[in-house]
Amino acid sequence: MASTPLRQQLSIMRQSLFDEGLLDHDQVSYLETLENEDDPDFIENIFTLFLRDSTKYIDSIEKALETTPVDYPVMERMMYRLKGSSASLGASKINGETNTLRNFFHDGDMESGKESLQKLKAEHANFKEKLAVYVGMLKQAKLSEY
Amino acid sequence: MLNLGYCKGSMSTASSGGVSDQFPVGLRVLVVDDDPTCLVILEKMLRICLYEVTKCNRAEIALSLLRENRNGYDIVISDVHMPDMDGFKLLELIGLEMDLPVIMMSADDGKNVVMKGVTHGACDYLIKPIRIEALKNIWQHVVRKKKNERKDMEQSGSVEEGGDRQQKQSEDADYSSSANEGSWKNSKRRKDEEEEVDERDDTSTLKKPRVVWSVELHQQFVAAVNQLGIDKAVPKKILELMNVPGLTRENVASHLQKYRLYLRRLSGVSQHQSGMGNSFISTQEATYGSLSSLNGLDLQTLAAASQIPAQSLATLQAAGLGRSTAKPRMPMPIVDQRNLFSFENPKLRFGEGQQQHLNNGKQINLLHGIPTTMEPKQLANMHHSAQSLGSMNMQLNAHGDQSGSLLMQMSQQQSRGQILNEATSSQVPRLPSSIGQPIVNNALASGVLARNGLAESGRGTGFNPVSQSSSTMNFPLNTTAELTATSFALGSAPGVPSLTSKGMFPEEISSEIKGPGGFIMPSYDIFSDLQHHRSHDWELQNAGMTFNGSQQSNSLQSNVDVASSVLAHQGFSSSQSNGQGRNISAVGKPMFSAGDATDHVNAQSLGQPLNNFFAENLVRVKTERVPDASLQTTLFNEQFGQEDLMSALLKQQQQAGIGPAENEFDFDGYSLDNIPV
Repeated sequence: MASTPLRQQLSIMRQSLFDEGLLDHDQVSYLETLENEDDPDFIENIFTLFLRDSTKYIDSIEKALETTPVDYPVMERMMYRLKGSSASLGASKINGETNTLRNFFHDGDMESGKESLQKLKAEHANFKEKLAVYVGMLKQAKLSEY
Repeated sequence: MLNLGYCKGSMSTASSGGVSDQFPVGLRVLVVDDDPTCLVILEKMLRICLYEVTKCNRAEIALSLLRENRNGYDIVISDVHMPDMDGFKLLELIGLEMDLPVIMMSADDGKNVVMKGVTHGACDYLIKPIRIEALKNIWQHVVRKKKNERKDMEQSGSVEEGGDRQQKQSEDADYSSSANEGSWKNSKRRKDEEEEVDERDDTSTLKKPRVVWSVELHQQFVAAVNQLGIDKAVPKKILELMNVPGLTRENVASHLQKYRLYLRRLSGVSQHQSGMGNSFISTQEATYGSLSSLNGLDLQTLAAASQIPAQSLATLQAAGLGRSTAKPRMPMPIVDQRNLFSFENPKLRFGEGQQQHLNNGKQINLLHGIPTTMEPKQLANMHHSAQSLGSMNMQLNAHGDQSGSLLMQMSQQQSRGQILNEATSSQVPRLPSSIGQPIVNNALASGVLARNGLAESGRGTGFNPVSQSSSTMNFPLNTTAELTATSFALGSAPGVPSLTSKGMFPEEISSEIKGPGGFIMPSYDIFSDLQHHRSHDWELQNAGMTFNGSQQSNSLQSNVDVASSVLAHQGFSSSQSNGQGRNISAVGKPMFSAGDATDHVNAQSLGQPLNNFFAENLVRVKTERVPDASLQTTLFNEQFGQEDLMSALLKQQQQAGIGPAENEFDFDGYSLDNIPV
């Protein structure tokens, strides 16, 4: 594709996502190679999906923690899903935070777990914001090239 | 961009096993994952490999897809954690019903979980994030499995297992359990002509090949006998009618003898029983829904394997029968645990110390309809058995953590059925509910737990991830004692296999009995006992599972897997066929489909033959019973507390208007206090 200003911007943003550790370079590059003409929106799609679902998962985890008694099965399922999807996507920070969170809860350390959840939420909010911008730019770049 | 050439290259030669030259292009993959992102990524990769991909995000959906189109898929890839069913359970069911290769995926890479996948028969185990390279080669599993199956079929006699073993050794290590399952499945599913031989007897002390009276084989036998008329049924003619290659007149003769004794006992034990037997069966079916097909044989086998608490069985029976054996949920008093175990193998050892009791050679005739497992003297012990079972049950319960194994429950039901026939005092209530629960599956471990008040949450601070992880072998089934029956989901079985897989069989079994996997544990003992005693060649074989004589840890594992698979299968079947929303949900709803007299699922379940087996006598009663069962089931669905179930059950019984025929049963005197813990 021609290196339009939009594309350049995209490229810079993408790199900064890597540099900030929000996205894993290898995994994302790998996913990008899967995209082809048949499915040109693959990357946007999975990013969008992830943003949507990860928000849901985190909300569920929080809710589960707040119920009495704590809804551990749901929590576990959500954390597990978040772990899997973030790993598959290459969302490294989220993946790392999720692992930490899970470990705390598995160990029964509710306090640390709750703190960790707050941290995860913050990370996630940051990630979401940036990734949403990136996806938006991606779409725009594509559109402008058609 | 990847790959077109990439994948094409890989398909070059795969034409063995009757696959097209284009193979693996067009390989039909069913991928199951509840996370949308993962699902999309996987689908993408699989499409790049030129596979034909079907996605789904629920295990139940996957199963129904597979069932609707049995030959529509070549391989299944599934995540280990699903909301509606444990992935391992799904794995077992698929292996059981469709015999397809299954690849497990997980976001966790703990060795335990991977081991679990392997021991449950997964062809492969992938850790997320998954790369396309891992998917490129999945077609090999399809080919390999086909090859193994063909080999199994061709082999005959005692060589079969040996062949499998050799095969296994030469194959991937992680395929071995599949091969085992495969061979088991083969014996279960292959054409009727295929005789089943003691696959695992080879290395036992017995050298000569023995006939394994599988469910199918027995079914054929009974059909032949009925056709000839019980009076006129001579071995020679039966043999001819059965037309099973390799079966000898002597095999038939000895089987016939046992069968005759069994029938004699049936009619002689009590008049009620004939009626009850029917109701028992029907009850069972009602209770188990599709499981009913499993019924006696399987249950017994399973029970044997898992040391079904007599009480549970009796209770279940009573419940099912609507007898007013209104015992509290607590397991029936176990008067004589020994008897319990005589059921399948004299040596059934129930885990902790009770085992010794069990080895008295008496067999519990768990199910009337299950002649195969009945030994003359066993019949005599039915009463005792029930009691024993009761005690067994108690024992199980006593072990706190022991989740009631499905097996147990099933067997409980079975034995209860029988026992109930004889005794009416069993406290059935508990069983039905409990049975319902565990039957479902692993996932049910959590489900069951949930049912009993969320075992998981019940763990207090020690948050335990879903029972699936082997670390949670100890089900926090501290909810109720009966949990033992209930909480023992076969689902927990996965845990068991993993235990065994650690190679610590007997010891582990004993010690592990406490854990959820405990129920399976005993079976190992049985196995070893079997090896030595082999008094009942068909016992464990009934369900087609090669329980007996599996001296090898591999075999045992697969046996257990099979057992759990069977149970799981059944449990799942019932839920499946039920359509009453008795789905396998983590909420722990009772899984058995009570009203499911329609054995539609049975077709797939092991118990199918058994069903037919009983069918002739039990049909009419069955239908009658169904409503009762459904009532009960419904109740169970909604109620989780023991007391609730108890009263519900009692109510049911009363409503059913089934008068207890207590006078003829020895169980009248049951009391919890009798349990010789």
